[in-house]
Amino acid sequence: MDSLFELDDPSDWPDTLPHMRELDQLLRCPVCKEYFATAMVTSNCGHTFCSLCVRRCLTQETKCPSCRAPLTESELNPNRLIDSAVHTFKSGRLQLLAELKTAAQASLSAAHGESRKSNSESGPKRRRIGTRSTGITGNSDPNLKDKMSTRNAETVSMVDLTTSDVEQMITSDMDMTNSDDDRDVRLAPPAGKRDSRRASNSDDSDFMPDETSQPTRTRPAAGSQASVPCPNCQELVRQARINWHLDRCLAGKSTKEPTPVSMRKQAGPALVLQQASMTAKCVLPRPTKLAYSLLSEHKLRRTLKDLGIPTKGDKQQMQARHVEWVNLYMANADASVPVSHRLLLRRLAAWEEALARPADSSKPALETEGDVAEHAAKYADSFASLVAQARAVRAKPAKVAPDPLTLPL
Amino acid sequence: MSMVSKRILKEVDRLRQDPVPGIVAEPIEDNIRYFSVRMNGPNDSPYADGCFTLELYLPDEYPMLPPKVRFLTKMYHPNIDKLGRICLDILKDKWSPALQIRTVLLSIQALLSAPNPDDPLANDVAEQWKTDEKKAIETAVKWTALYAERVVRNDVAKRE
Repeated sequence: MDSLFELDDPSDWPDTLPHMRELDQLLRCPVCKEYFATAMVTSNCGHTFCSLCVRRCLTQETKCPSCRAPLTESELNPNRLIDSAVHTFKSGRLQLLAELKTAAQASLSAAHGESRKSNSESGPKRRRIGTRSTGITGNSDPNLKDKMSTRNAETVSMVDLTTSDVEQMITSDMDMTNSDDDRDVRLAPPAGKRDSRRASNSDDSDFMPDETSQPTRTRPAAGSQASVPCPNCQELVRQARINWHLDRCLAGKSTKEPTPVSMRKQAGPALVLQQASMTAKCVLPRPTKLAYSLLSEHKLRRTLKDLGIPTKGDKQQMQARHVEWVNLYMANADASVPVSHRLLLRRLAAWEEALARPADSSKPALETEGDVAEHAAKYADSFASLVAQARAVRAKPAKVAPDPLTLPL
Repeated sequence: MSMVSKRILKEVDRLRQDPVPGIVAEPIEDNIRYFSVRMNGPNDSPYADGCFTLELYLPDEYPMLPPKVRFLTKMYHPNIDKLGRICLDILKDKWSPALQIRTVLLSIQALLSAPNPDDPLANDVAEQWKTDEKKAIETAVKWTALYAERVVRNDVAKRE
């Protein structure tokens, strides 16, 4: 079970660090008890939740889950700072915990040299996630400045890693096993790290089939963002586009760049991802909330079909699926790095599967009639012996009872 | 959904490692959603000497819907009926997904020390509580001795 679910909890922090416990607690959603995934703050009462969590709550009841003040979805605003704080905290957490542990071990062992030896042995193993790509090894002395700088380097590499994760998910059609990485994928890259991403983004664009006028575009160098004046019209044009511009400029054609290209160059990772999903032909229309009671089963099925989500099951199932889809879709739209709609569809399928499973296995014992019959059959022997015992007990007082009654006489 | 069952796992883990004083809640065998609860009556209440058993079930929609809780021990309390059902706002319309098993059990314990006969579930008990509180409390003490104690003794007997 532990391998499936890594149960991280504020109580992972030692008692001696109550502030870290509290900080860990504060960065978690009150509904799911996980770190915020796309944090949304309510505009009137100021509470923060995961986008998906609060949307799910609001479909149940239009009240703030924390203070029960009236709340609607239009009063939710993204809280990007929390997203970045969570991202940074998560990347430093394991490393810090591991180092606390090694420090505690070091203080425990009496001989100084011996402790250092054990540190260098256990260090890399414990911090396998925290120090995925940092340069330090077995550094048990808590040198804060060193730690800060290495953590920055680590965050950058982790951001790159998540980007490639997303791409893998977009490109690989059938792989369902990646869904555990979902939360990482949805995380916002820290604002300061955007620049370091750009280089990798231009690499990303090679990854996709190019639908613009450059069938044999070579990988742009890092300097391709710089603008140079056109020798003909003196207009500032980016270096990578200068040849194309010059051709058209000299031929007297319009030199206005096609919009998709210019948009791609300016856009952050979100747009790149959207385009990636577009090329995978999986952009689904934005769903709207429906008044289900006004819709016939046939009409609802057609709506689901138009939205591109599964249409199986009866009206109730389709309604539940549509509600969840709206929540998933809107929460994804809130994210600073939305995932592909294909991945969203997978999450919808996983949600439905998980919803169907408990109905079979984890209802309390003897809830259904079938269970009762089965239980009765299984324990028929013990019931019979119990009944026999009870009869024997009932039979006895008839004989015994007269004795105490006669005694006082 | 997997996220939700993860939340349940976390709650179970926390209840085990950092239990609420006077309350033991454990999932029954292989069903992570069905709990057996043993609760000590709060001090300076008619229920102080008893240890009461409850059952707690987390519906599939938890935490969007509240847990279902019921006393298995017979109770003399204006807000608990003879089937053990509990009249408590957070178990009904005041439920919020930010609440959890721990807070629910604490609220139930608090309900034992502060009966509310103005919002009754067991009408006869509430009536008694309003007209003659002293006698009602006496009865509650008596019932606690009668039923709650016996639960403990039964357990001891079983172990022997």
